[in-house]
Amino acid sequence: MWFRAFIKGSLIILEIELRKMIKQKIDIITRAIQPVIWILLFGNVFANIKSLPIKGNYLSFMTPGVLAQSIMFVSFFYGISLIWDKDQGQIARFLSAPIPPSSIVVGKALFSGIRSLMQAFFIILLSELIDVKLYLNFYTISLGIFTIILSGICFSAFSMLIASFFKSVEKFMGIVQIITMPIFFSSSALYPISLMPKWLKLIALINPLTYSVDILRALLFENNNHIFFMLIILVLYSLLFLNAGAYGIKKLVN
Amino acid sequence: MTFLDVKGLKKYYNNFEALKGISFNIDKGEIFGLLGTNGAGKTTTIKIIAGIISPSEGEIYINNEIVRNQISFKKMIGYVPQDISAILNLSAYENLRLIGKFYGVSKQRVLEVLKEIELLDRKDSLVQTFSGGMIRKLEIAMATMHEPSLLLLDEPSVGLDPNAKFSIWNFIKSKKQNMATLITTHDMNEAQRLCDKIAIMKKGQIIAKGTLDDLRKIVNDEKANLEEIFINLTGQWLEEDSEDIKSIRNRRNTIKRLS
Repeated sequence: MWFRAFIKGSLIILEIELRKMIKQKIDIITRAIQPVIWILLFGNVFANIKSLPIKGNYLSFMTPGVLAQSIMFVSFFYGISLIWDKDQGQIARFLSAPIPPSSIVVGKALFSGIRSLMQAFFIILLSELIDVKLYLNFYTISLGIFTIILSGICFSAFSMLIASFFKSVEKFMGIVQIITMPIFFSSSALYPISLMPKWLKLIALINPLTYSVDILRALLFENNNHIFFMLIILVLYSLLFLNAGAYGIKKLVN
Repeated sequence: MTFLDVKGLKKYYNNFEALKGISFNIDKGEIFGLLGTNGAGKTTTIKIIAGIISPSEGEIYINNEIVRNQISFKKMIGYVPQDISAILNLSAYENLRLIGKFYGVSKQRVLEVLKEIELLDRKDSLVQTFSGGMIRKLEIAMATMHEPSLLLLDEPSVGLDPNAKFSIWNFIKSKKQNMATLITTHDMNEAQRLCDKIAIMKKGQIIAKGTLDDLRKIVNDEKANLEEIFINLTGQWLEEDSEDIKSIRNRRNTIKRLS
């Protein structure tokens, strides 16, 4: 009975979020702008640095990194919707419904994961236009989609956990702004880990964004299928944050 | 026969005792009001019964059986939060349909409910285009469309004009026959017109409860109205002066959103 209510609750919350997004079409476009700027401005400048230890061109190396970082940024700010929903009484109404509280977090995280696919679509489209070489076949696309959704789930669950502890928009924004930049720069999104000093390498190894980037890079840039271990780590991070987020949601309204 | 029996509810927030052992019961077909200033513990009580927050101590019984399975219990209740909880950028139909899915409500039933609240012709309009009274009615419909046995209303008419209040009160009365209804309110007029029984709360405690006549006997004044009884028992006025800043801000936000 619990499991059935959990699945049902998660899917209804997902549907609610999807319907809300469809009514805010402009959000879909604005979220696509940031990665485009990264690739066109930052990427084109960094592409001129010849000493980076990468095989192939820098733009192709960077594109999976920008994809993962844009998923991370957008998902990390998604926790704010939990605070808005709480302030508008929607979380209280969901908690009074016959579903486990954890299904609210899972439904919202699933939405964030699916929404990330739209960013991926724009980035892949752009990469085709500017002649970035990505390996696109059934295997890389299907595993890529799975990784993108999983990354969205992982970072949005982390974000909802933060939201449930800080409860106000102002505090949440402050904390997320402090957290996101170090996560981004201590990952392999823009440069290989081999360039990092030892202490930063250690941080990169416990950074979930590193695994998200490395899986997407292995699939799309290197056409390498040795991703199983990294995928397991990303799954474990997602489960950890989802569990903690489910614990946090009751704290949010307490 | 008693449907809902609340026994000794206590709630602590760190060292602060928000509820100090609340007990009351409600029969089917009865509207029971919790009346008190902000901070009295009304919303905490209703949120505990709705399963939104957990009590520190105390039990809730339905038909003399203790509530253990929250999911089964929640199928029996309908809850209207104090804040506007309808999703403003979705239509009336979408709001009812999506919330109805939690309770297995059919599409046909959603259309019947829309007809009942006179919103069928505006079913596809976004809720943000509705008046405050229409939104509140929609929200009560969202909480009652699955025909719950227990309806929980947290200050349902806050921020509404007198006409909208009358409309909401009539709607709540029309639903009372088959369910036990618990309502929290600041509004003496609302409590007196709607409630069969009233509990007066102060600082996390119920200091008096019963019908209006029972309360009159407690204050030894057969002609006293509810306001006089309240002042006599609590020594407080139900005015904004007695509210904390956060409550005033929340109330003003609600009024702003409704208008």
